[in-house]
Amino acid sequence: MLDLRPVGYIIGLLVATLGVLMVFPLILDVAAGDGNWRAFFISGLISLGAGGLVALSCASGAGRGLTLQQSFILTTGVWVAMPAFGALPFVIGEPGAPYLDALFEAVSGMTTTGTTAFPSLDTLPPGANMWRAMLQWLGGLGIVIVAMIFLPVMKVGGMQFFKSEGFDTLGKILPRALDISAALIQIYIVMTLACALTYAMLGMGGFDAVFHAMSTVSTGGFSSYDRSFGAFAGIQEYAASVFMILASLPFIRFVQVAQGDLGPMFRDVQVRAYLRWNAYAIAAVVAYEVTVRGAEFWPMLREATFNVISTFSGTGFASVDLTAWGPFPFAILIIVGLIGGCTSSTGCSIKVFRYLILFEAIKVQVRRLQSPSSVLFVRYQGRRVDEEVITSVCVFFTLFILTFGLLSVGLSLTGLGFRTAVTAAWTAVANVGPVFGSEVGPTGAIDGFPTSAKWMMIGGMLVGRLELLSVYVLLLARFWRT
Amino acid sequence: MAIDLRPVFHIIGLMLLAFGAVMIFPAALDLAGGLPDWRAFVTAGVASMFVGGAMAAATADAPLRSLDGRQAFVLTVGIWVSLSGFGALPFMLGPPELSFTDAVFEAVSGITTTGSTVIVGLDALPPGINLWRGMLNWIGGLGIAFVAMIFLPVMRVGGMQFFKTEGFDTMGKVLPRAADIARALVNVYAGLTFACIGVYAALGMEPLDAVVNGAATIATGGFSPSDASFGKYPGAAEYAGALFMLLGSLPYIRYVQMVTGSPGALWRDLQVRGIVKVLVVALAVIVVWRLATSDQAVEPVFREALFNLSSVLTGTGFFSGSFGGWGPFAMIVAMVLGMIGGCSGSSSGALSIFRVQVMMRAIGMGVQRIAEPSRVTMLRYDGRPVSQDTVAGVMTFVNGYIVTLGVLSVALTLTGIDATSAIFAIWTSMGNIGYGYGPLVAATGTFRDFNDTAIWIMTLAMLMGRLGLLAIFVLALPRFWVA
Repeated sequence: MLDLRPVGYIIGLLVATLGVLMVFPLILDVAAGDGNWRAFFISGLISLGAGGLVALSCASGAGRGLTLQQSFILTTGVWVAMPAFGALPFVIGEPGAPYLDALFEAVSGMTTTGTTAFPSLDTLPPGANMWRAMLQWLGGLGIVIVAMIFLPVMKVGGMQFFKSEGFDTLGKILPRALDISAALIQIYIVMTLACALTYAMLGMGGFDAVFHAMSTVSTGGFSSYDRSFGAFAGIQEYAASVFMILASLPFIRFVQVAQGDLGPMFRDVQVRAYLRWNAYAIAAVVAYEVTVRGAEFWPMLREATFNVISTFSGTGFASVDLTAWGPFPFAILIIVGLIGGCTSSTGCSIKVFRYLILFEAIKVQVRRLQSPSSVLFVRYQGRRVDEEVITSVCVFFTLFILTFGLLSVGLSLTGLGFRTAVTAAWTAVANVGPVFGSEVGPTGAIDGFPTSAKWMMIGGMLVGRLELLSVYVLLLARFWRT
Repeated sequence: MAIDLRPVFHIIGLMLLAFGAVMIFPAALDLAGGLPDWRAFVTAGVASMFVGGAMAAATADAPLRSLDGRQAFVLTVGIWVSLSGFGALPFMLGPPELSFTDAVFEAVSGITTTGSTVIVGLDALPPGINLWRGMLNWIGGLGIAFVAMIFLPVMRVGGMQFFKTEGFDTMGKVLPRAADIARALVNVYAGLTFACIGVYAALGMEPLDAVVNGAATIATGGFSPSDASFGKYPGAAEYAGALFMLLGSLPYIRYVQMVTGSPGALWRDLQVRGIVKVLVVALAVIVVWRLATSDQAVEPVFREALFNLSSVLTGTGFFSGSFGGWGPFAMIVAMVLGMIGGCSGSSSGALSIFRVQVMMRAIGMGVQRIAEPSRVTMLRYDGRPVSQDTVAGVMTFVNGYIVTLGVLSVALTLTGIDATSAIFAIWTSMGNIGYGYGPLVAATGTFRDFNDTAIWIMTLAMLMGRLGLLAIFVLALPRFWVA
């Protein structure tokens, strides 16, 4: 019999914590003399009350560890429950959005997508803007913990390959989880502070620096300005590029670096491939713009570096009008968005690891064709990859493209144009951020989309963020029976 | 041991000899019509026969009985490339007097049964040229059905080893068995074509149109002798076209079995059921959507949807009505259908129903394994267990297909083509479909406005799509030639 109490207990605690965290934007608005603080007060109380009640009523089931089945329900449950409450301040206070738009914003934040449903960010009270940044920051932290602790045991999309790096058996999930989380949270906070300090030193105001640091380190992509990062063109773009890259590297390597062991970071084939591919993409865009379209080299290098890395890592800041770059760079951006960052980082999409496995598998397949009798294995970082992992990776890859295709079909059915539908599906499933097309508002906001399209994008963002399979498994009737 | 190419050259030489000989048909047609371009066919035919004859004679001592896997790879690719090269000659020597690039594109498009064209003004061409386009489609369709049944299973391309037992077992038997299968195949293929031409003619098509459209229909090629494609014959001909396109995209081995005393073979086949299901679902969706968003009557909506969706799904590429103007939703549905494609072992292209079915089963199992890690399940197809080897072959094929699609689209945008036109151009080329979409195609309905680099990339994509990707990748490996 399925025992939902441990799941309810954890979700309840997290929602209550979310309510407590609303005290930060509340303070900010009080200090700014903005009446909007009431929204956070009310929302905080509601979240604290609701979360607390659920936690209390489920308390009898706590402390028993989680089964695999409960872990699946927990991950999806957390990503549904948190935005549901996180959306409240946007409805009760500024910008007074309809609940659907507020929920879209909260999901976009928690999944570190960064597409906004609010057409005018410049006029929002500081508290409301800060809350958007916090949602991303929490979402980024959450996904790193899930990726390192839950996904390997869940065997989602080949992540079982990293099992030994995390830990071994299910019974140990919670104790080990707490250890790893503690280390992760420290690294995450240090990285955010470093980023904020750098931004501040390079001339951003205090609020902007903290806001954008949270948005950068979570590879989220919300900005407090309608112009996104265009407001900070210049040296800040290079700083942001560095931190976006850092945030999309495997966090387990940072834990090792913090323990004084630099080797694993530099030897990691995933890290190397990710950096290499970024360099190729930037070089291709710069070469094209400079030779074909006569752009100036240095500004182009800066813009290309920032915007390519922003898309590759799934952050979604933009500092220029990306559609003005022409068809080839546009195609490059779409492709890098479909690759994404490294596993167990805040980065999104299919991820470098899966591409590396896929390419190796294709290579082995081709070799097998020409010499059918030889025995060949797929290797990754010198380790043999077993068939199960390869199949998982292939299934994941196909399922990702399939989800992307179906979402495009669904979105175009709501009346959106071809370009809008495909890029909206792309941005949602890969958690990137920008949408291109005629239905998108002048500031990149999607508030003008049909209601059904917003729901579909919310679904797409959640499914994409939680690595597809961990959500799809909940749709199996057999999952609930056993 | 270096690879022995003599048997390969010998067979290619014989093929070229035959290929040059059949150019007599368009030549005779134009001579009878008093058009001077019959000379183009005679010149091209003589050139083809001369080169082919020389090749065959020079390698007459080749040990033909022992064709091994590597030679089969080279042979398949070699035949498609050399036939395209000589098949392009008539387009250059006479009207429409295409450039070398465009002529090769047109010939490759024909022989890969794609059906994309660079010619505007098809109706005004000499009948011989239009007949030649239909013949290219027809020969290409027959060729691929043959390769798919005989070579691909032994070459283990993209999971096709699953069909090995249906064809035959060991490499040593390729040629004797091949001759038997080929004879049955040619009979079925020719029978279907005559039936199709007869029906078209009975429904009022002009004789040349009936022949060319009939040949292009069964080959799932899509070359039409009119700029309006099937828009020239709205009505009953569209229903007939849809039916015969579907028949051309079913596994030919089932027809052979039906003829040899197993009438239920066709309907019992999982792929046949699969393609019908896919078509019915897509048709229902598009008809309901078109009825809801336009004010047209039920019959034309149903007919146009049936014809155009069948055309894309089977990779034929005919069009009728206002298909291009149906809007983004219809185009995305069409895109999905085009990527699925017809059945393995037929003349149609793309991923094929078989691979999509295995892929869906593998995905289903992947999700189930996550829900219940301890349960051991075996992937089954048609009641038979599918080996890990086959599943891996199918999955790498599907993913390799998607990656190649992405890479080639990027390459097209690099030549300055907008993203929508580029993606659809690669989609249509790799899936051997023939239907274009996007700003660059909209003006003429053809690929004439694409630059030369783009035309070559698309030519490559058509060949890759046709010969099963992996076959091409294998040939590109240096180790293949030395090992």
